[in-house]
Amino acid sequence: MPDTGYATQSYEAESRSLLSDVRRFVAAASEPYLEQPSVHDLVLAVTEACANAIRHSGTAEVRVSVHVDGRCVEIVVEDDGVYRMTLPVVEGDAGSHRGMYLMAAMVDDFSLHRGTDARAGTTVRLLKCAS
Amino acid sequence: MVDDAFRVELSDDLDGARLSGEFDLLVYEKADVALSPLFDAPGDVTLDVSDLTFIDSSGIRLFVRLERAIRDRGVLHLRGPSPHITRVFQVAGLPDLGIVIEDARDA
Repeated sequence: MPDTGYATQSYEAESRSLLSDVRRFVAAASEPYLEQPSVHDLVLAVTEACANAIRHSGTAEVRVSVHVDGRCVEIVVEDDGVYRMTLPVVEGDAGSHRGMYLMAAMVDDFSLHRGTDARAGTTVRLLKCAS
Repeated sequence: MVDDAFRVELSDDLDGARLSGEFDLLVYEKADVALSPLFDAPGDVTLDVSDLTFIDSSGIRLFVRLERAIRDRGVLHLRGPSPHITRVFQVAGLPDLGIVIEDARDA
């Protein structure tokens, strides 16, 4: 995708305002390109991706960048951690699978490159296009 | 400018609460503690969510837990959500669990 000049923002994983700070950044960056309902959807998807990173991966930092291509906005969320995959627990209530499902449902497309013990660093790409 | 800090106000007779601001993972514990009296409510519980400006899956998770806790005695009502939050509730399947999503006007 052509770069539109939005610098990558870095956030400390320990910050108590990380998720709201990311929401402000993503909303401001995507509002010129998307209708308000789509901005809300994208902001929720990015929140879920960041929450997953700070909750499970052990990363010290989360990086968020915005790329615009025509009528689509792509947000990339990166960490330096390890993506912990767990099987759904039928009677449990860990909530992480609900988060992943909500994230997927809110965007037009997404991809996940998992950080592993051998090669840390997870990248989530979230794509939302103007209708 | 709306103040987006998350807040909970319990009703005087402990059958509901008013939630406002942004509900995400980082306020989950605060919300869990604040709403804990409602888990023992004797009947229906109504949460006024009309001033909630954002909710993520951790908020959904707390509502699901609350519904499970009161299921034998009453129904959980979520009153007055914004169009976006209504959509999140629906995508998350809350109506399928018997949680009632209602307009503020239905009150």
